[in-house]
Amino acid sequence: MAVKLKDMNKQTKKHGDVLLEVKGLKKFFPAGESVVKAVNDLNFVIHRGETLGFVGESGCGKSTAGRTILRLYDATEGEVLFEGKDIQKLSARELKEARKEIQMIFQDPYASLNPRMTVGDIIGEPLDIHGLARGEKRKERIQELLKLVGLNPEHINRFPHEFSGGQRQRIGIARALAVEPKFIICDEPISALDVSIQAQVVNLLKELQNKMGLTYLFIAHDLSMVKHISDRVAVMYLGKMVELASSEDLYAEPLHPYSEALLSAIPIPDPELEKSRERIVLQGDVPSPMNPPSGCHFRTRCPKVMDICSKVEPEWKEVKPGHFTACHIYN
Amino acid sequence: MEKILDVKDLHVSFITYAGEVKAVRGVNFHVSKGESVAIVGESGCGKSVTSQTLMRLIPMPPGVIKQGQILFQGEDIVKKSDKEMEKIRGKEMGMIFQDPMTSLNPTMSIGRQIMEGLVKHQGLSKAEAKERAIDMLRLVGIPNPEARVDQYPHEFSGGMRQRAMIAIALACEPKLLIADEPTTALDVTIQAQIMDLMKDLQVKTGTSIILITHDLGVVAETCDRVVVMYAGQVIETGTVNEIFYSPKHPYTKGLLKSVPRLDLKKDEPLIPIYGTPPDLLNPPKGCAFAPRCDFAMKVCTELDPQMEEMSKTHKAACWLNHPMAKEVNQKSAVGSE
Repeated sequence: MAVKLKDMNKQTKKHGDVLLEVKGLKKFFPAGESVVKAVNDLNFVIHRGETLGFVGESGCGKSTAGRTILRLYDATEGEVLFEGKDIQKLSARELKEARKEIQMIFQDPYASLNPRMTVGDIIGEPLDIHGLARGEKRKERIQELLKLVGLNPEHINRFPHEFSGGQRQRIGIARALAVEPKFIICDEPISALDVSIQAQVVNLLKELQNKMGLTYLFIAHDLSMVKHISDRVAVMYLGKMVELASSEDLYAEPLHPYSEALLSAIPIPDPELEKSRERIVLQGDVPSPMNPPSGCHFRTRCPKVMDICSKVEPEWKEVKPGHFTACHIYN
Repeated sequence: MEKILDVKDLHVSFITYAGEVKAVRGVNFHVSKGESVAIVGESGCGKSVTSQTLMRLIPMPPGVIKQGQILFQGEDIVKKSDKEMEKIRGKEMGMIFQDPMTSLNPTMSIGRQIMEGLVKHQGLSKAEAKERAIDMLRLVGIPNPEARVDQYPHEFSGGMRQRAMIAIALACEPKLLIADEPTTALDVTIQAQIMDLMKDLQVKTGTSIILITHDLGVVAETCDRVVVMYAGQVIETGTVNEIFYSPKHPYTKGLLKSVPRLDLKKDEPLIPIYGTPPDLLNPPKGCAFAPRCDFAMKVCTELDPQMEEMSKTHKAACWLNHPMAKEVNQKSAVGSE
């Protein structure tokens, strides 16, 4: 599956150079006799200062992809080039250095903070590990970070349970920012939060991006929120990318039948519009990734399925400038 | 239209070691025959406690119904004995819970869980009940129901488990179906299937539905009327069109502005509601939303706002709607263009 990376680069000129390039990334998990192909052959680039959104239903491999990029999992195959260096090949010492550049914000603000550590120590831990600040300077830096994410710097000695969900997620963001990373993987950072709080956190992430020139990989299943925050969006289904486009293009004209169905499944908070809207309701469930359907993985639920779909895997190609998809309709 | 359910001034508290948590503080709403009513609000606003109180499912103690009436088909649920409640639960009122993974019994086959109510309430024989269970599974769109009826919950996917839950809830043809976040644990494509199914079944069986959710999109898609709750109180209620197109409470306006919409340009910034909901151990004086409200006035922190009527169906509890509130304030309120 040859991917024209050059073409991909062409597309988002307003952003900087390529920061991260993923080539043929695969992550398989052994499951008894068989394997779960959680991530199966991903190819994409992320530009400096850009936000790339990953969407898909549970089990599509979006979180595994994020974790494999950071090498929380070792990849089964493929390369992850961060500023030209392959993260998958780094030694332990080099990896530690690289993690100063790449950080992660986790989904569950209740589980991702150590309940027995103070907020100061949680945010200070990356500073200690990387030897970035000590003593009075460390405290100053932590307070500065707390202020940056909109928390009261005087709360440095409090424990996570004293904070609400939204505030905890801010602590998680401050911890990620402590090492001044270039790239942050946000793995469903707002799914566990209430709607009125989600907007606070998303606005904070956007503001920090503008201020510090951050690059995000934003993983979520909430497509409206992904559209709101992302420059480009990738849609995943059963371990594969089925479509990649700028967020305007994807939402205005989804090419892959799965993207189309996914978008039409999202209810819009507007009663009159909802009444007139035609919805594509997919039949059945997502098949097991242990035994995905032959050919195109989506064919078992696809409303536009053809004969060829069960025999040949569709090729990943650029159908329109900067708009990639893998579907036989466009062959 | 005939009211099937009428909740009047309901107060529910939980007595904890830290004190009395006033989870529901004077809730009023009604549901008419064949109608779908949404209860929306953030976590901790009392929407689930309200719905569980309707079926008397809250554990007592620590829960206490302090005050109020729940008139279901004219009879007060609050006064019923546990024995009388058993005849209502599952038969007259059905409930669909949020998490299909944990709310089914893992040691009982799906069929037996559907049959349980049929045997108990409708006095069917086991064989008849099984026939009916298979019919129900077919009705909710489970393929090959003859084989599926003998399977256990772990053999079902998330979406199928939720369908099975709906089959259980609807087996005895309840007059009122309470769905507590029925699609929150599901993926969007499965959510679309389940919402479609619920709408279909409502047309077929004519049951009334209370849908508890925080997803305003789902509300717009499926409901007739909306009840917005905040800090244990109803702060606004109206038809979907009234709530979505002319919200009168700053909290409702804030909720609508804080969610991104697929059909709008992404450049529009989200307007969050700052702060967090109040602690119900110690609810604030006056309007509970005042500390987070951009338009709070002096009166808001002193006196509880009363429900003002905008139309026959539309009511909101906010001082901005008081005849004596200044026009200026209303114009600059969040969301009013």
